[in-house]
Amino acid sequence: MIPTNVDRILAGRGILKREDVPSITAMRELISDPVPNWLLLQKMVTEEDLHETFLQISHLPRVHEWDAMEVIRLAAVLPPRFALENGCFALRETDGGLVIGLAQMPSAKVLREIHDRLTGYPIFFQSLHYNDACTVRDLLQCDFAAR
Amino acid sequence: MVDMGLLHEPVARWIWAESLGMPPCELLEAQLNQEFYLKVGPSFWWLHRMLPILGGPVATATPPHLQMTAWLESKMGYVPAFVAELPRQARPFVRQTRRGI
Repeated sequence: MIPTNVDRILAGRGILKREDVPSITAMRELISDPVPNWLLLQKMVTEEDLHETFLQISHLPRVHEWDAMEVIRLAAVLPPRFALENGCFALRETDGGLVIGLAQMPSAKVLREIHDRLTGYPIFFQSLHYNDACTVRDLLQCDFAAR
Repeated sequence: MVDMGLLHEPVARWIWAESLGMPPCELLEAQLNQEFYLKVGPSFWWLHRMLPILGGPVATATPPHLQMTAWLESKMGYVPAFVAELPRQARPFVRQTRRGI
């Protein structure tokens, strides 16, 4: 059985206490917010912890290089603030296809929106290192504020 | 259009396959290649709307990205052949196969 629950993986990495996992699992039934958001609000984990867990779970190829000008140029590919709110960044365009860098796993709804908007375009999803994700987010935030 | 009864599913799949430039997939006869499914990672297949099928091909509801294909080749050990599946059909197939894992 693959341990797919974030709380169990975080416990496995020693970030959460194992004795807290059953109550987190029970709490999963009570709240509508995703568990990672709740863990963040409770300060039980950091954003970086969650990001590392995302990298560990997703097994996606990592983004090794990206260009700030290209990221700004491609910002309009996705709706305004969509990238910032959902951690999905259009990073590179090659041969008519797009590389989307992920800072988190998109929800089913977000993924559907990406595919609907980019119908017909080949897409390659890759995962961003934590520091790169923060830098890209800051870059787009500054660009958005300057407009 | 399939939901509205304007197109039969095989015809819709054939048109979709034409637009993607690859042969259509017959999911009813297809079985998941669990080895590659787990080796590459469930997230990858879900994000890219693709599934590896027993016997070699990869069913896809989206046009394959060139670099993604090269990366997939490095994981699978051979150049994957793609067959087209409707986006709406790939989802229940994914759910069904995930239950079995």
